[in-house]
Amino acid sequence: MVPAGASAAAAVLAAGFDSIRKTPVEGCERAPYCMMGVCFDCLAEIDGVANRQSCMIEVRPGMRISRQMRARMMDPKVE
Amino acid sequence: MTGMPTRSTCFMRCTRVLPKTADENGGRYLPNSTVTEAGAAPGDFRIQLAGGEIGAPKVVLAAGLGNAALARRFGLSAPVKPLKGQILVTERARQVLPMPITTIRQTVEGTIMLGDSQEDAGFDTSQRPAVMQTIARRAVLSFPWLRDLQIVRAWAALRVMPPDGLPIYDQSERFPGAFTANCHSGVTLAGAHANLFAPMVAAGALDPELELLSAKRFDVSAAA
Repeated sequence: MVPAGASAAAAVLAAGFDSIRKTPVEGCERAPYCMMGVCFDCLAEIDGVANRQSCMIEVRPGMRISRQMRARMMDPKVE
Repeated sequence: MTGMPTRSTCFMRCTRVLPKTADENGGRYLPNSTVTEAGAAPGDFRIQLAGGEIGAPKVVLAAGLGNAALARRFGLSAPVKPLKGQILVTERARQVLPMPITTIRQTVEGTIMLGDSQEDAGFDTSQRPAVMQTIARRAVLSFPWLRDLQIVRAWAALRVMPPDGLPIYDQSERFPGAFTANCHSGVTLAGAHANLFAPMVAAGALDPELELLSAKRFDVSAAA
C-alpha cells in the first residue's frame, strides 16, 4: 500500500520487490533508482505497454505492473 | 551480421578508449584545451593552449568544424561547414533489424536510431518538431512495426561537411609535417583512418591516391 499520488515504482518497492526488470543485453536484475525519470532503471510493463518509466506513472487501483524482461518484443510482420 | 555494433555504439566506445589508449602509448589527452595561438615551421609546430605550449614535429588537424579556422595557421585549407542532422532514439527492442540501413539502425543493445535529416542552419543545434515528424513518418513507412515504439530521446547535431561531401586529406606544402583530415563522417571512415591514413602520417607522406581528396580540388582555376 502506498499513499495516493505515489508512483508505480514506489508501489513496487513498497511491496517488497528488490528487482523490477532484467537488462536487455545481459539480463541483470535492476530496481528503480533515481525515482525522477532520468535513469531508466525502473522500466516495467504497465497495463500491457512495455518499457514504461514506472517512477513517472502514478499508481492506480487495478493497474497491472509486470517486470520488464529484457528488451521489448516487436513483431516485424505487423502491418 | 546479427548483433553487429552500429556506428553509434562504436563511437561511444571510442570516446572511452581514446584517452586510455593515448595514455598507454605514452601520449597525453588534454580535454577542454582551446588552441589560442600557433606557430608553424616545417617539422616544427608550437601550439598555445590555455595551460601552456606544446611543441611537436608533426601535427594532425582533426578538429572537425574547428579545422576551418585552424587550418590557415598551418598552411592548410579545410573549407568545411556545419550541416545539421536530427536523430530520434527508440526504447530498446529485441533484435529485429540485424543490418543497418541508412536512416534506420538498431544497436546491439536494442535501441533503434532514426535519422538522416539535413539542414543548413549554421551552428544552431536546436531541434525542429517538423523535422522529427518527417523522420518518424518515413521510418514508419518503411517498417510499420516501428509505429508502436516509444521515442526515449532526440537530439540535433552538426555534421562536418566539405563542399562536395567528400573527405579532405592534405599535408601542408608550406609547413610539411602538418596534416589534416576532414569528413563526414569520421565514425564511418574510422577504419580507413586508423589503417590507412594514420600509417601515412606516421611515414610522413600521404599516398599519391589521396591527391584526389586534397583541398586543391576546390581551387577550380588551379585544378583545371
